[in-house]
Amino acid sequence: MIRTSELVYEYPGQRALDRVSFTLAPASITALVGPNGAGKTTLLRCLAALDEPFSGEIEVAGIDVLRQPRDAHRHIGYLPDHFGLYAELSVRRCLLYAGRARGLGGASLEARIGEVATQLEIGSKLDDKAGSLSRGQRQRLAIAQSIIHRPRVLLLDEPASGLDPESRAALSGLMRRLAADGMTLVVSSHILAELEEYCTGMLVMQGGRIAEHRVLDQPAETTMRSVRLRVVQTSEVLAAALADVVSELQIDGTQARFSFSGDDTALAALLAGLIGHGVAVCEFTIEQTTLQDAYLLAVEAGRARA
Amino acid sequence: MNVLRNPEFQRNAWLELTPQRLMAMPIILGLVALVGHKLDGWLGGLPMISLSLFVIITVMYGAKQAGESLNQELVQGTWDQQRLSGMSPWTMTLGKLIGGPVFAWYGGLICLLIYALTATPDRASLFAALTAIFTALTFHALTLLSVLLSWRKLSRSVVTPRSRGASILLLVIFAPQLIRLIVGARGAGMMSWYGWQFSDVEFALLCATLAALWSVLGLYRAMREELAFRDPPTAWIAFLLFVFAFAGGWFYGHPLPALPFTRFGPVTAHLAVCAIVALGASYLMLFSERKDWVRLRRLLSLWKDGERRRAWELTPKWLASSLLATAVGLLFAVSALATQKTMEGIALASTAAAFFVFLVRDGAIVLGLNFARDQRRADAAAAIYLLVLYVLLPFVLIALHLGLIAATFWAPLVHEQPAWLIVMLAQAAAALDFARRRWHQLPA
Repeated sequence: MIRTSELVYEYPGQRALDRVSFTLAPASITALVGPNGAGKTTLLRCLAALDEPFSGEIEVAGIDVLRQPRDAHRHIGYLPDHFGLYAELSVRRCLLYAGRARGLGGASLEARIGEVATQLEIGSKLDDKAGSLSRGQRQRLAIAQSIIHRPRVLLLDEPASGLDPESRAALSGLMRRLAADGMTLVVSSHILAELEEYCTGMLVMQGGRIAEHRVLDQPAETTMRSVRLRVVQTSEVLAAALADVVSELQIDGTQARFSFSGDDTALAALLAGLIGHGVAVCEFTIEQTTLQDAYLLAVEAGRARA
Repeated sequence: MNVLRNPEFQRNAWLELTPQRLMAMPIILGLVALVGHKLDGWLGGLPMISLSLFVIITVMYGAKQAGESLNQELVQGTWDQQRLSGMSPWTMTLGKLIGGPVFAWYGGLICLLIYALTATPDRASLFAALTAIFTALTFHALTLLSVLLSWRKLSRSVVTPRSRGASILLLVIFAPQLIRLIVGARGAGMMSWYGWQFSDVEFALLCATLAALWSVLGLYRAMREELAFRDPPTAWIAFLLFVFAFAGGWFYGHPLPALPFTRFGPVTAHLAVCAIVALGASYLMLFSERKDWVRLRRLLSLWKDGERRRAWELTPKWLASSLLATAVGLLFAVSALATQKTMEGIALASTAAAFFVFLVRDGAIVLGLNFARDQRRADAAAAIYLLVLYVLLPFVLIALHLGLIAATFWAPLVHEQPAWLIVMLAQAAAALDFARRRWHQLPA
């Protein structure tokens, strides 16, 4: 759904994007993470065809964004970090304007306003002025404006900043619903714990480059799992039993850690094999790698490479 | 194209035309009309008062409203949503042009109604009203354009006061002439343009109409650029060519006016004016456009890769204007050499060359200072350096009784001594070397 190739963007004196290439699948939710100044906002603005890169290619929904930016705009919804609303207009008129500006009109627009207002839980606020809404409601109105034309791609820059926990939870639910409807989302955020709830992939940016592109919801058999093992007594056969089937093996007394690639059946077979070798296993745990851990590892690795 | 169905116009109307304002405007204007009626001819009577009010409310206050409405979009962060919208450049242009100052137009229409009811029903009255309307459109379009250009050039923190400053400057410069032109002219004088005879009122209407057309076209082109359309600077060049053709109206079809350069004959004199216009346009664009060296680098890269069409689309207007100024300067030189006596022809051609050499020198200084990571003060610094070169340094040299050297800093004086052109060339070479070194110092 989104593909970039060798994307380069330069500000005077600074390369904001340095040969950025990636492909995002349809209906995926990708967390765009990275330190401040990594190039996240610049990348989102290039994807939205608001800024033109120095060189490279961008394709959104099959459209060459650099050659046909106006065609691409029809398929893109974008919520910038510092978004604005027409504070003196009612929520209904804000949505009416957004819809008409996107070429909608008549009864279909009225129906669509009702639909997005319900989806974003601002149906009861339609006659209130946008300026009177809370931060969370304003955020939802801004997203409603961005999706009123049913874009195939939604780009969100720090959508959760300044929201209370309840609003963040509602936002997570909304992301999942939009992706379930077939929309492809790219969400830039620093709040990794929440991104983990709904993201299917993670793009780590550092110094204008992609430090890591990780798909998070891969099937178990294709991902490397970190396993922690504790035995009752130090065992000499433990290392020999594990050596050929695991990687990154570390044994420290009665504890062992290793990485294992395989599905649950293979994992059960591994455990059965250990017991068969006479290893007295008293604890066998799969350690979950959080998005935060993965991000920090990617950033650390990126720094080491630099 | 129904402007009432224009989303941008509707949004502005929702924001501006509140019931309270809709009631207040006719009441206040009605009271003013009543007072005007009682004054019985003082201040020119109701026609004069209503047309003056149109100028104040629609032309001036409307320009302020138009500029502020766009500034609000840019400052409050709603502009990107508009850029992503499906509105065409024309829809955006008309929506902003008529929508931003919609309240001022509401008041203006009431003023025009009073004018229509009280003015003498003749061509002069009609023309004065039309001139006022086209002048309002011109002002609004130019104000919107100045806001967009300021926004593109400057950082967000300083754009608002500067663009407002530009709009206010426009009003201060043109307001007295406007009121005199629209309200004061009653068709007494006649003027000749390309041999056609026009009354003052007719010519004022012609100028106002053309100004409105070009300023709206300029705004439309700026809007296209904002909406990610790729346009080469053809409209800007077409505008300059139009100005050349318009200026020709004073040189052909009737005896030449007694001006210092009209003794060269109509063609050479006309070309001199065209060259001055093109030079002025080059300097205007050199200082008003953003000199983004990343964009320049991209332009050069595209040119080298043979993507000439894309390179042409990225060509800055200062460069296009300078190329045009060079072409017109060359034509002037050829015309002068062909039509004047040998020495006079050489003197005139040398003067044209001197202006061109100084354009190159000044352009190199401006660009050289802009070839830096931080470009914020580059144009201001360049303006100061040019002030030193054109004013301070020559006067210091004159004070030191070095008038001959001082003359090498003023292009028109080459007419007296063409050899000074060599010194001017040396200045341009030094400036070009400065720009070249700065370019090579830029980060890769």
